[in-house]
Amino acid sequence: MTPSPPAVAPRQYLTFRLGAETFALEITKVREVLEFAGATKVPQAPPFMRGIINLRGSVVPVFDTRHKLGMEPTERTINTCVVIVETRHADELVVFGALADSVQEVLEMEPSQIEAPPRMGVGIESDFIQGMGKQEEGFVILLDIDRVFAPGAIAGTLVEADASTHTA
Amino acid sequence: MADSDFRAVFIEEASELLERLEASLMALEAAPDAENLGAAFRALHTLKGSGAMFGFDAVAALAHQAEAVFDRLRSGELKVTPELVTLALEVADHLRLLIFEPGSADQARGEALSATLAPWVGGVLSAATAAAAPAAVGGQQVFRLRLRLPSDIYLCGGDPERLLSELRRLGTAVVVAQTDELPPLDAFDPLQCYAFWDVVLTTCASVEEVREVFMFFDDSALELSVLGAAEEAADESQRQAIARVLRERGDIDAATYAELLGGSTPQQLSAAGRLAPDRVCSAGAEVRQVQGAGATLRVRASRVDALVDLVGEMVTLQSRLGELAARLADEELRELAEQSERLVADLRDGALGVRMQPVSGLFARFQRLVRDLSAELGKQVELVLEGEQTEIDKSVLEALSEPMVHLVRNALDHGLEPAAQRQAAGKAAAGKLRLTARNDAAHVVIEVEDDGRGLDTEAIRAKAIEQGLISAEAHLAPEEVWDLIFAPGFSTAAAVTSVSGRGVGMDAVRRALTALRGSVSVRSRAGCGSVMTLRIPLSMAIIETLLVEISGQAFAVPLSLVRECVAFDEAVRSPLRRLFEVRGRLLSYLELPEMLGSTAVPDSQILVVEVAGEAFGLHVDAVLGEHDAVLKPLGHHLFLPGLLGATLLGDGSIALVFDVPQLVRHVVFSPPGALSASADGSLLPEGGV
Repeated sequence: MTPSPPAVAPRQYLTFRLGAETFALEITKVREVLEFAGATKVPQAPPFMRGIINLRGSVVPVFDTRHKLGMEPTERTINTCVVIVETRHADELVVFGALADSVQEVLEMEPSQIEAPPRMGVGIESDFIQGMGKQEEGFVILLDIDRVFAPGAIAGTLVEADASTHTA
Repeated sequence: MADSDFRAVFIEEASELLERLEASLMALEAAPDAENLGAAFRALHTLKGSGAMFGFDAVAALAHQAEAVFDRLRSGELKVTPELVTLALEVADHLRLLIFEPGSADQARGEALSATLAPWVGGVLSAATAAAAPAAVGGQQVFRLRLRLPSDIYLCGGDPERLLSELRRLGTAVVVAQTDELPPLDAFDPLQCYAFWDVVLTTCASVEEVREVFMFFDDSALELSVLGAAEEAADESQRQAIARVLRERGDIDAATYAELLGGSTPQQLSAAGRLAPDRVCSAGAEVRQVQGAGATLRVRASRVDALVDLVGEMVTLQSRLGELAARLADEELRELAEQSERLVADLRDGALGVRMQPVSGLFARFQRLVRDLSAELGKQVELVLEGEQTEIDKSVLEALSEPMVHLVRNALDHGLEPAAQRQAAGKAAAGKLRLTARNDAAHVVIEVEDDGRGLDTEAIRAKAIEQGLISAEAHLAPEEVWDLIFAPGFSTAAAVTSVSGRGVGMDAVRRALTALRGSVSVRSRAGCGSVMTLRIPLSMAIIETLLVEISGQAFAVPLSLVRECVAFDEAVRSPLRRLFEVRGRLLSYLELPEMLGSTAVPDSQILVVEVAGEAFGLHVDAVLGEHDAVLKPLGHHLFLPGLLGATLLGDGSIALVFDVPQLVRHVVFSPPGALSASADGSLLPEGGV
């Protein structure tokens, strides 16, 4: 007679390709998807940072997702897209762009379709993987985009650079 | 407006009043004069009145008692003593609690204070207060002058203009010429002076000093009076105030004055020819000056921020317009674009100026802090404040408060030696702490200077080696050693150096300054003292820059740092050592194109920049032109050294804005040959110091 807990609704994910693999991102984190028309290089930027772009008056950094995940850096083609990600870090809204070789469709997946990430053998740090989504043709890798481009990871180079200038 | 809104208004006002009260009490300790007494009295008076109005009864009662005591001090019945001042400060503290933290205000404490005050209050607490003191507007006085110079003044070699200029030098003068006595043209003798002047002068100068301006004229030339307190006039409407002023000046008779109070307006009277318009204008100016002097408008910070954002957008739009106008080569459009550019520049300066406040607000806090600390530590301290009118952005001011408190504490606690030690060293028993603020191109520079022990360079070096911050063989210049005190986790025992803290303090100070895109550094002389220098950029929102091209990319250099530009081929003396010559001086330059991985192009330029008094060069491929940069951050968690941010150019492309001081700092501290372009185009040296 107690009301049953609300059913866990299926979530929507944006799928995209990095190389031969298909990845997925929670749609709630995706603000928009743009064609990649190049980015202004920033000196002293971390190697996986492709540069910055002008997004309707705001300056947004663009990161090379492949590079960060340990793959060969993205080569620009007509299909290359920038996925503008919006996420929260310590109460602050953070916006950045993540490169994808191509963007595919929006999939709906029930929690039951999502399996825990395997311990190893996936080729990228398992910390970055939220889970594996089962599809007819195989699996899509659910990426924890917050972890991939966490402030710590990006500020890392800055702190190193700073520390190195202080030691004799 | 709801009751709670009124209370909120009172609370806001009370904050200012309490600050003023504290400031005047501190000043009273040093100089027990009428001015400071008056200021303290007025603050208490207003607290009493407003407190009662808004239902803060306890506040009103306590303030009333204190006000009565100060009234007696003003009239000379009581003398100012240190105990009274301390008591007054305690009253101020309790009032503060009552208003801002009513929950923690201890009623017993309030009653105790009241009881302590009682004997000083003396006779019956009168509801009305004695005659108001002269209108002192922030330590200044307001004078009303009427200059009726002899009509043959020109023939005697005198010049009214010069006299007025001298008056203006004394302070703020509002001058209204009275020209109603000018004769018609056919009777006009150009060698005669027919006009006289009404001046409302707000100044720190004394009556004697004002009179001195006219010492060559006999007394009848000058009618001078000190204006009454603005609060008396507070209940007056503008019209009544003008009528009063006209009557006081003798411009209207009693009957006309009654008419004005009755309902006629000055405009009606002058239309009827009974009152010269110049007189009305002059009276109006005086009323505004006295009432309005120091008038401020309370505006929510978010509104100002929204305004500044909009102005930023306008500047961007303006640059696109300018570029379009140049491209289309349409004369009319170009003219409009130019006019628009001037207006937008003024708008930009105005909008950014709105958020500026004098640092005096920040410095005032230290009067109290120093007084309390010196008592606590048992050290005598003389506090000197300079440059209090230097302006700085409000949010920056707030962010600087904590770091500065820490620096002041440090200076007092560890910098200044105890009196005995100082005297043994031949110094004055009282230590000197100097806080100065000044503008320096695009920065505000604040210094905290003490004449204490200075930094113990050896001890710092030893401690740094011990903590593994530097290697034992490292050869560091004194400045580099001193800079170590800002390293995270660095701490030395109190006995060893003059600037010890909890090991967290100095690091936090540097981080706070870095967050403001500023810097902090220290200089010191053993036995003589230390100086902490804080530099903060004036405005972070919109900067005037010079666009340059390096390696095919556009970059922006803050214009305020640029001194000149020289042709690379002519100026360079040693490409290997990166030296160039300009005006007979040999300076070093940063080889930016190489750092960005490109080779030199012909006809390149060196930008001569000045950072903290030193000149350096920046080798660039080409100089493109000026650009108003609306600074965009590169991303919240991206803070790349050497770059202030990015700006959008007229065509929508992005130019990165250099943080020149940071850039120069890193390069200067690295040994020659250590600079190289790494694979990813990194600008900064590897290895470093």
